[in-house]
Amino acid sequence: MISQIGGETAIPALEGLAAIGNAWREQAEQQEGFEELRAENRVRKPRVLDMHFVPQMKLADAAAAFPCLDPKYPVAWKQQVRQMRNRLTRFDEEVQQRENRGVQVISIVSLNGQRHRKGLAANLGFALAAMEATKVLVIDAKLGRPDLDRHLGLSEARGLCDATRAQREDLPDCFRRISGTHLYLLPLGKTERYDSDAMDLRGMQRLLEGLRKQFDWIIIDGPGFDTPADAMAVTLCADGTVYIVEQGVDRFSDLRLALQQTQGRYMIGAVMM
Amino acid sequence: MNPAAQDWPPQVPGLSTLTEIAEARDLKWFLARYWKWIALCGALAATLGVGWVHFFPPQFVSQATVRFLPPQVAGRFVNPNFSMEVGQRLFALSQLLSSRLTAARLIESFALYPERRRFQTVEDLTAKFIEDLQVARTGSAGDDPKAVPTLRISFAYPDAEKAQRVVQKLVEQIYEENRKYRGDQSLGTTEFLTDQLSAAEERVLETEQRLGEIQDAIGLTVSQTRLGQNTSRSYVIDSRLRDIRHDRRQQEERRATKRAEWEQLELVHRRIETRPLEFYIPEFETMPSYWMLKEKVTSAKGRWERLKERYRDGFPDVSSAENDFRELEQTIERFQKERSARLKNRDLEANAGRIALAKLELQAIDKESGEQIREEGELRAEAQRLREQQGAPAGQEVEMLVAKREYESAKNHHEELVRKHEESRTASEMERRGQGESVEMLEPASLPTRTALPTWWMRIVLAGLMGLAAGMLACLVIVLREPKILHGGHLESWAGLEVLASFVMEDRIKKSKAGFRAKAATTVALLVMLLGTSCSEVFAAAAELCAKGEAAEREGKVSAAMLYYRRAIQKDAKYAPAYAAIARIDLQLGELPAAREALARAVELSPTEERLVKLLADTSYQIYFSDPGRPTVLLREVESLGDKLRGRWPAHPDGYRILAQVLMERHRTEEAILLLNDASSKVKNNESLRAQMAAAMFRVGKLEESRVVLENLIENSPAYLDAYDILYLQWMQRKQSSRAREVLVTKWEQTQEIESALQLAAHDDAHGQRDLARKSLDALLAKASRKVLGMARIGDFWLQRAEWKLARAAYERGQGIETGKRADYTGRIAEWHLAQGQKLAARTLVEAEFAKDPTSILLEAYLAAVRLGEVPVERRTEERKRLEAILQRMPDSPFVRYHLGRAYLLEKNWQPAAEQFERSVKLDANYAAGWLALAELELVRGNVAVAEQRAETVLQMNPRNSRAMMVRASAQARRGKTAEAKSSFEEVLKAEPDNNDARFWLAVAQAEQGRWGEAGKLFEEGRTKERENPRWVLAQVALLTRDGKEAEARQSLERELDRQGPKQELLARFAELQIQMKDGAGAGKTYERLITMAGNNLNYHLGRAGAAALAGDRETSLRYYSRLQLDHSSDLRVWLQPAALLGEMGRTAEARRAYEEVLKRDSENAFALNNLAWLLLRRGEEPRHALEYVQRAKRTVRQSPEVDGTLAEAYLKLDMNRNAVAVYQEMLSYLPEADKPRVEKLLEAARRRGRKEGNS
Repeated sequence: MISQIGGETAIPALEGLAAIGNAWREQAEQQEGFEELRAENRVRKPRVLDMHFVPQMKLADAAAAFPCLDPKYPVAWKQQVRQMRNRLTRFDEEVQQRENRGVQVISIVSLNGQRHRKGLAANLGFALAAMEATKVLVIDAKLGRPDLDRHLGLSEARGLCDATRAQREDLPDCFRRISGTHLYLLPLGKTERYDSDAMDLRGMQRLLEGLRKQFDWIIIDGPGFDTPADAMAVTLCADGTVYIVEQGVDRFSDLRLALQQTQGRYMIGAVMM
Repeated sequence: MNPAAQDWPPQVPGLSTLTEIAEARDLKWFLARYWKWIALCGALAATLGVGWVHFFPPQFVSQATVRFLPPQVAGRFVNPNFSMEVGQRLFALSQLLSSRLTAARLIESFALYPERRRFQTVEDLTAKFIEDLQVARTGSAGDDPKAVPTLRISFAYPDAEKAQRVVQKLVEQIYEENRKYRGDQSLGTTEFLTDQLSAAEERVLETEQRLGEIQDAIGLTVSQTRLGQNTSRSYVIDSRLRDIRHDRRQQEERRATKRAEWEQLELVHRRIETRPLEFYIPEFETMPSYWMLKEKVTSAKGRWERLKERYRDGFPDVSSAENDFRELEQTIERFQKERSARLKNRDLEANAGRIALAKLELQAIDKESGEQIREEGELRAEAQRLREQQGAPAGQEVEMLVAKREYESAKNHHEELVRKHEESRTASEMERRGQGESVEMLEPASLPTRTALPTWWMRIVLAGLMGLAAGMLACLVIVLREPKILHGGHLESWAGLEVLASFVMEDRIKKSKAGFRAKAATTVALLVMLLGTSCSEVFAAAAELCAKGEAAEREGKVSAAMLYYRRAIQKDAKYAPAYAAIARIDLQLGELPAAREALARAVELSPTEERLVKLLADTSYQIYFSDPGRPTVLLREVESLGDKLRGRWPAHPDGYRILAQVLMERHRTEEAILLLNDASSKVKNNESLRAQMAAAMFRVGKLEESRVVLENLIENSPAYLDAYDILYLQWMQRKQSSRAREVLVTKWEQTQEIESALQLAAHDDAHGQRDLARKSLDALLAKASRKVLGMARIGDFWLQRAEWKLARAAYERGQGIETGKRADYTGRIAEWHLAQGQKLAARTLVEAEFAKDPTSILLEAYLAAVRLGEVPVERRTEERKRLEAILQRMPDSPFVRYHLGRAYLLEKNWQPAAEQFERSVKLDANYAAGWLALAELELVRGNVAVAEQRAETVLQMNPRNSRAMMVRASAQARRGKTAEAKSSFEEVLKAEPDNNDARFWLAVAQAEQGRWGEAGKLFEEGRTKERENPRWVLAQVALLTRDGKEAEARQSLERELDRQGPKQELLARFAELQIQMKDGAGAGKTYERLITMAGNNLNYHLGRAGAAALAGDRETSLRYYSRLQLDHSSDLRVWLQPAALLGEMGRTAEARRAYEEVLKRDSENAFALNNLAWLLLRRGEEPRHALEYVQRAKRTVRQSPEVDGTLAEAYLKLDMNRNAVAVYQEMLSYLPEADKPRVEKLLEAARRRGRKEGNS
């Protein structure tokens, strides 16, 4: 058991989550116009990434995106990253055992997107990818403060913004693979091109639907709840959410707001910063 | 909706939830996060605390306790209900001490609250003062009558010394108030009794008058005296008759009882007589003779029966045996009768005795009764005779008796009141002298060393802590307003979220922690350094100041040293060495109470220092011993110190010595001896103990034992000087001066000290062996020259004994040997000159020496001293200031103090002069000049007894000191000890035949003793010796006038005036003599001459006016008086004399006005009252007013023929003849024989007048 929701009813967390998910779905299905969406979704085909066309780059060139590779990176933090990986793996197994579907897409959101995250998503992806035959995709969805493309030196390259709208043939250019590993990276890309809505939610869902089959783990490094719409979009696309809480800085009220807005998804846990 | 989802997400935690989820590390975070703010608040508050301390400094609380002791005066004149009374007065005293008036006075006196007074008035500050003052009553008399009423006064003030002084002042006020109150109380009783007495006097006068009136109304045929006697006799007779009647009633009762008893006894007698003998059965069983007879009868009967059986009847043996038997039977029968008769007779005799006694008693009663009847008859006859003599109607007689009784009663009451009044007045005096209810100080005003809580640092800490708490609270509020997630625990507890990982910057926390620790450590270190530095500075400063003080003391700058020590105490109030040093200086200056106070403080701060404890005990004992009241509190303190010394240092002698002193002081000398004996075995250096033991033995009469102890002590410890002195004194007390001298010789041989030689010389000199003394000191000369100022000591010895040559020789020799002490010897030579009256020589010598060594303070002092008497009046203040400046540098010099006293004396500033003289003799008890000055000063101030005592002290040192002798003689003369004064003056004249003062006063003393001839001779002798001094002529004139030789006296004066010229004293006396000789014109001229010489002298003007009146020029005289009345209206004489003149001239209205002017200025002036009454009586107006005036005059002047004459006249005018007779009779009791006939005539006239009026 990972966590509990509702102290009074003492419903186990996972059961609680399932109940909440079902209730939400039922509610959503009853809403007007939802049938159309479902129909459209049924019509749309999931996007498939031609993985062998994905450009590769050396780990040394992408080292900046993975702070854990830095020799100065604290050993304790490395331990924390591995511990987090292990816990996610166990959580996934537990959910799979119970519901026959695991927690494959994880969004990592903070309460304030302007704060530094210490490369948590990349480190976690790296750690997951280090496991045997585990394909991991790390998506940089921090719309307000993207950093992966910068770390990878891909300032003009395509990214998530393009991927959510791209055709199959254009899709691999948006990704990068770290050569010699099963770790794929999807930077945010150029948001300026899509002024109104940088990330197409439906495109994103379609993309993720396709990618789910190709990757074992998809880590979405989401924005903060200071931009709640973006944060909520990311969490809607994910199976579960991990909250980054900066201790001594983030307030209970902020977290409460975040929790309020992420109902219906697995609240996997929190990472203290 | 899912119920679980309904509660999701949980609410933002409030205070209660936070309390539930909070962990210890939250506090840590809180402190780490907000410590700066909290510290800032703490620091701000601490700063405020500093401000608090500055503007409201911590206060020292001084407190004192006094208790009220019951009065030693009989309670009949002071309220005996001590407890209740004291309870009320304690309350009143508390109120008084806490009053605004007292507060304002003390604030002004001690300049309290200087900071506040810049903004507030004294009136506003009284509330603050009252708040700081606590007056608590303990042991109140209300609950427990045995409880001692006690008052505890405490005052809180930032300055400890001021607080102590305020409390001391309040205690003094309590003493003063108590004294005044008790004085007032008893004075009130006296005043009340005075009023009562006046009322009783009036009552006596009234009853007396009434009695007189009744007697006058009765119209007696006998004289008034006789009437009084008769009345008194009648009263006595009545009283006796009443007694007799009472006695007779008792006698009748007794007689009846006795007669009944007698009759009863007669009856009993008759019964006994008729009683048969058989009634009495003696106890034969107890009688051997009866048993023997019985035996004989039995044997005779047996023999007769045996013979009768054996022989026939008629046989001679049988008949003989029968006869024997019969005889024996008769014998035993007789025996029985005889015994019974004896018993009966015994009863009869006893009864007859009783009857005789009763008869005698009856006869006695009859006789007594007869006598009383006779006396009653006589008394009745006498009463009848008196009544017949008085011939007054029965009603008036009774009235007179009643009046007489009332008079007697009033008189008794008056006498009783007079007695009570006297007692009450005595009680008042006792109260005033402090023998009434007294206040005892249980605990004097303490000098607090610690401030009252909270102390300054407590306040700052408290303020800091409060600031910290406030800061924390504020920060907590901030935190609670928007609670933050501080760690994963919060998430798990609050939302149930698992913490997957933690990437907290642990290193940063560590860094910040390290930084905080470093900062805290630095701050603490800085604080410690600051405190340490400041503290060390304090200590260093106190020690440094003390060292400076010691250096100044070594240089002889005592005042400067004192200043340093006081500053050291200001720096560190607990620096014991400073207190000890102050005590040392005070002891040097003879300021024992101040020394004791400082020592007490030093001992309190440093209780382990034996030297200080010992010094304190000795000083306290000295104070105790020098106080004639012998305060027991001090003795108890000395005892406790002795106990302390003995307990803490049992191997040292001081504790035992002090305890022995206390025991001896309590008259437990035997115990003291035991203690000292026991201690001598325990203590090693026990010389002092053994010496003291010897002294104690001597006191209890163990003279020989004491001597042995002392001689052993001298033998074993020849360097212990006290033993010699004690032994010497003991021999002297035993009047064995030769043995005493031997002791001094031994001392001198053993010690070879100057002191010993001087002591020996003084002994020889006192015993009239000055040559021996000289030899002793000659033998000393060689040794003395090696001692510092040794020759000076010898010179002083001779100087005090007026051996000028020897003294000068010693000084000069010393000056030659001790070149370093030249100034000392020069000063002494100057004193040598001064002692012989050679002021110029003294000044020249000192000036010359001072010119050589202008830095010598000693010479400067001498110079100021010798100049003092020579400078003009306007420069005396300058010289006095110079001496005061020198005193600052030489405060322990008796010489400087003596001359400063002289300076004050020249300015007629008696009190400071007396203080300086007293200080000089305190510093050196052998300083004869100081003692002499004190004696002379006391004589001037009128304390003649003290003056005589002081003069005796000087004479003990130098019996030939003529000034001291003169003071003593003058004091004796003023004390009325004429014979002693005469012999003292003769002694002075013997020592100084040219002392004209002594001669003059000797003559006066002779005259006072009635030796006019000898006095005249002395006056004549003085006149030849001192021709320019008019006192001799004036004294001779007085003698001649006394003998009635006015003409001779006048001639003598005229001759003297011709010889000496017009001297005021002579002229004034001459004018008086002229007045006396009724030469008004001559006197007028003389007074004119005097007025030209001294126009401001009122006496001369009055004399001129009087002379004019005498010469018959009354109008001129009145003109003179009118002028004087304008210029000298406050002088009564300018009213009285013209009033008398006007009265004589018959201008009574003007005279009356003049007398009334006098009475305006002095309402009880007897002269004016009497004359005014006389005037009124002469005019026949307002006799009642006249009586009132003259009665007022009589109250002031008890025995004056003028006043009494006027009083009698007033009575006669008011027809109070009896009172007038009484006044004349009183006059006869004190008037000289020559004046009596006139008064007797007046008396007779008054009696006649009384009788006439009575008859009519």
